[in-house]
Amino acid sequence: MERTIVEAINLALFREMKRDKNVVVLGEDVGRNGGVFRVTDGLQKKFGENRVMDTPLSEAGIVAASIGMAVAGLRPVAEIQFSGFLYAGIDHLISHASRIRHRSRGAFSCPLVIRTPYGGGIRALEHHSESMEALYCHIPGLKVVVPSTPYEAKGLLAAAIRDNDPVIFFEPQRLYRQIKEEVPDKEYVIPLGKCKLAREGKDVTIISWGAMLQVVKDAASRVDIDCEIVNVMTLKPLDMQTIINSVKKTGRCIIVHEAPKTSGFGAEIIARLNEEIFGELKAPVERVAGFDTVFPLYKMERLYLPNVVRVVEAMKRVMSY
Amino acid sequence: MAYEFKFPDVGEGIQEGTIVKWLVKEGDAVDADQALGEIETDKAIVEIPSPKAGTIIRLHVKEGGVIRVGQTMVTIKESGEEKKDAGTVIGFLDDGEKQKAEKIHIPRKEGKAGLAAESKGVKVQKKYDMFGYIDRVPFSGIRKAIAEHMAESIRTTAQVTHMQQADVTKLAVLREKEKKKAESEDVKLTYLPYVVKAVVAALKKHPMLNSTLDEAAGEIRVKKYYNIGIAVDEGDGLRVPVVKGADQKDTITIAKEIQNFAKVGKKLNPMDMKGGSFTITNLGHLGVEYFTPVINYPEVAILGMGDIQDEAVVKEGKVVVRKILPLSLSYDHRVVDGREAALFMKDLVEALFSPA
Amino acid sequence: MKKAFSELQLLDEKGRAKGSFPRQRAQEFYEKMLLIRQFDQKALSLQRQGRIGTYAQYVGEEASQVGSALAVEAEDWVFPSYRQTGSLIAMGVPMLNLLRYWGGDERGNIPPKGRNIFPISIPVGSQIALAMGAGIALKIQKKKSAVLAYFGDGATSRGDFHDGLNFAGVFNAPVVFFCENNQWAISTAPGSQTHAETFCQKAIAYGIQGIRVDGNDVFGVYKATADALARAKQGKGPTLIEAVTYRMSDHTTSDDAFRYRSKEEVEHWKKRDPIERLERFQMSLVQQRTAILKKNKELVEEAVRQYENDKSCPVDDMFQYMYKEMPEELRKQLQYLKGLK
Repeated sequence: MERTIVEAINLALFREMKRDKNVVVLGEDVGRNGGVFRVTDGLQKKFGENRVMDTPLSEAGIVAASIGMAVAGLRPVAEIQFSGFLYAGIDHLISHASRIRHRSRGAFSCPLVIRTPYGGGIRALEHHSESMEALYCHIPGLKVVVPSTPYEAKGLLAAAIRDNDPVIFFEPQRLYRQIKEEVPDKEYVIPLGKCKLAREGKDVTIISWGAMLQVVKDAASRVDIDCEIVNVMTLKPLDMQTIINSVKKTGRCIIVHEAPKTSGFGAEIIARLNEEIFGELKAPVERVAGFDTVFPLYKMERLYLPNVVRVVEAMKRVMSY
Repeated sequence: MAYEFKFPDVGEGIQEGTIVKWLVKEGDAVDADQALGEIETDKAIVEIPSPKAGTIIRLHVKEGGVIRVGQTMVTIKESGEEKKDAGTVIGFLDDGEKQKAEKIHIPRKEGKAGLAAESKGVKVQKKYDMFGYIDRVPFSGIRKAIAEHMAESIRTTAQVTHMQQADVTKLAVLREKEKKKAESEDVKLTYLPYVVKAVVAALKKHPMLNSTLDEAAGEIRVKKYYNIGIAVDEGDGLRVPVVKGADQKDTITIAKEIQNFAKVGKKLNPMDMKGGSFTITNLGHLGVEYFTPVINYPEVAILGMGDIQDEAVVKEGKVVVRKILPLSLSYDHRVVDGREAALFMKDLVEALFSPA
Repeated sequence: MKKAFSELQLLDEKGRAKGSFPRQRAQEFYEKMLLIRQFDQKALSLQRQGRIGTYAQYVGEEASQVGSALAVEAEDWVFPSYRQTGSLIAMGVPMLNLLRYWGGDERGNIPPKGRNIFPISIPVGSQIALAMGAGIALKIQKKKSAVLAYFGDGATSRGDFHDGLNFAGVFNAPVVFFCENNQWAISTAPGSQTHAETFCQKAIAYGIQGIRVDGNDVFGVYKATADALARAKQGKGPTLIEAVTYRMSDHTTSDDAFRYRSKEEVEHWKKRDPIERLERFQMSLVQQRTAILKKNKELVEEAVRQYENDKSCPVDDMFQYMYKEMPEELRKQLQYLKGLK
């Protein structure tokens, strides 16, 4: 059956909650209202208020509550309404969630998932278009996952829920309803920690994740060179082997992310490419990224976000060696 | 004016909606902000108000039908003035632009893996190849610049070299005479300034050798000025300082300038190396007679001077000793033909034979 | 606790006066409430047409918005939430600014000259703690002004609420914490937000004054706010005001409130409409209503015209205000963006 990302995630939550009674959902407006994007629609009716909880308005509280629940045996899937509000909970993520297993030498662990819409392109208010995934990649002990299609969303979320460590699950809100594709009803899991080839090619490797993959695919279809597209899916832990195999083949690489350029996750990938296969590069690795400015209010949003023009420019640069 | 009202983005990430009910019908007059219909999205049922006052010409979707964001929903015939479109400030490719059949061309180079490692002059450890020991010398800086310049000249011009002797016996006498005067001004007088003057005289008669070819613009630019470059290599690199306006300077002044260039050496002002229209290069002091100098592109001709020696020549059936200056003229055959070059040489040799 | 904190009410639902208040200002309050209601309606319409972005309505809360705003003096500091558009207009922020803000243009955040009105805060309640900081500064600088922090019932669940009130109490900062309890935080009712019966009783925990007022009584709100600001300026410390009103609209233009509340509940509160209450108090206002609506409509339309006539998109602004001096890296990025065709 054809589903959007919203429907796919809804289905994943339903399946996992049915499969494992310890899986619980919490967040602001997730129960009665079904979530402001309707992602948790119908869950409270099915599983009751004890397993689908409307919380008071506090992200710090939600994150802390999730950690406590996870330590005490539940598998919470917390929704933070917009990733720009997750900052209030970063303290608990760094100070506790990421460390519990390490601190207790395995006596305690923290199997939680934090789901949150991220990214720009929906003409939203301030703080509603953030793309700060690199912050979380920098925290040892966390895992960071970014789906880009309905099929991926269902499989990756299932994997994240079953994972025994804290996972931050960034959902590209620009794509929530933009893509509809076949998503099987049955249970399936897409393993974390693996990249996927979205397109095979031989001239240049383009690495991206989330909503930017749409821009990349669009750009690739408009040029006369043959692009190989790597969809990262799990930023942390990063599947470097798939990336290396691709860049070895093409010798050229472009990384596209909407997060600000400086210290964005693209920088990490380039550093690793240097370490592993510097000698195979035919050209310096290019980055197409958001600018080092605050994400603008929506009037200038289209100037900020990487688009086909900028990706094509990067292609020209990388092919000019 | 017919206004096409497209279904706007009414909520965070909404892509489409279903028309629940139209509140107006085609032909109705509507006010600005008047509710046109009810549309159901994934998030809510919303009322859509009219952006314009006017008459409904067409409702493009039926009740129960689905409409996507950006699709035309209603056509309204406006009453009253239309707003001016101020236009966008920065235009760029719309993500929603239709797929063009023609692909965007990306110019490509073959590329070489590991390129970066080599070009930075990174010293590699191996001191031998499969035949024996070797030294690795970085190819960069001024060496590289000269290489590119020489290669470009050979690659672009149709280079031909004429070789001819000049009898400078009388010139030698003149030089001896003027040497003392020069020394009083602290100037060492060589043959070079005289050659410069003779070249200028010959160029005046054969201006095509004092030009530049601009193929792209489709023209040969004949210089009306005489800026003679003097190629210098003191063992610390090849440079070509230019004596500007050589036609307006006397021998001593030219000699002084050339001497100053030599003194400054490497610290030559870049401006002093620009603007040349003809170049002279001298390998005489190293014993070379004739050679094939490379044209100082984009100039059209270069004169190579060889070692001035007393030689035995035959004049009117007798063997006599004359002071001979070997000359090698390389020129660009795209601009100058052999005849013209030969006549230039003839005039040059004559000027050197009978100096003023 | 509801008894301990009975609602201050100077004008009841039937429009009867229950105490003394500046009756001569009734028309001024009435005009302002109508103006902001008209603006709110227009903003909703613009959003539905795609001419501004997501917008948060405040219809039904006009008495709370206007009553509090008119107690603010020119040199006071104001920290608004995203639902205080009406208050901002009432206290003198041009409607053009608000249209720009909701239209996605940061220039809307620039306050009128000389006014200390902080930009709208989106993360709920985050402005409460910031307001506390500003209050401490005013105290240290021995200024005669005070701070008005606006927030809703939902914000009281955030840690910033605790930090804001706690610090303000300890430092005796001149801050008025104005909680516009419109009884819904998206789909969360107060009973799910806190186990306390009221919000104003939380003042006890911080050792500060707490006042509950009928948020649909514009004179009650005005008095509560003016008194609290005066106390603050006299060095008598912070106050927590809870104005009980009702969010007649959806949470924002992206919400559908009937998913989580009943039509009956909304109807019940329609009867407590703050503008009608004023009309019941002073019948002469009704006669002037048409003329006032017409005048206000022109003001609103003029603001919309100004907003839409300015299609400029100053790209430099996105980069220029990151730091006082633009770093080299940023300058390069701006050049790059400008050079794109």
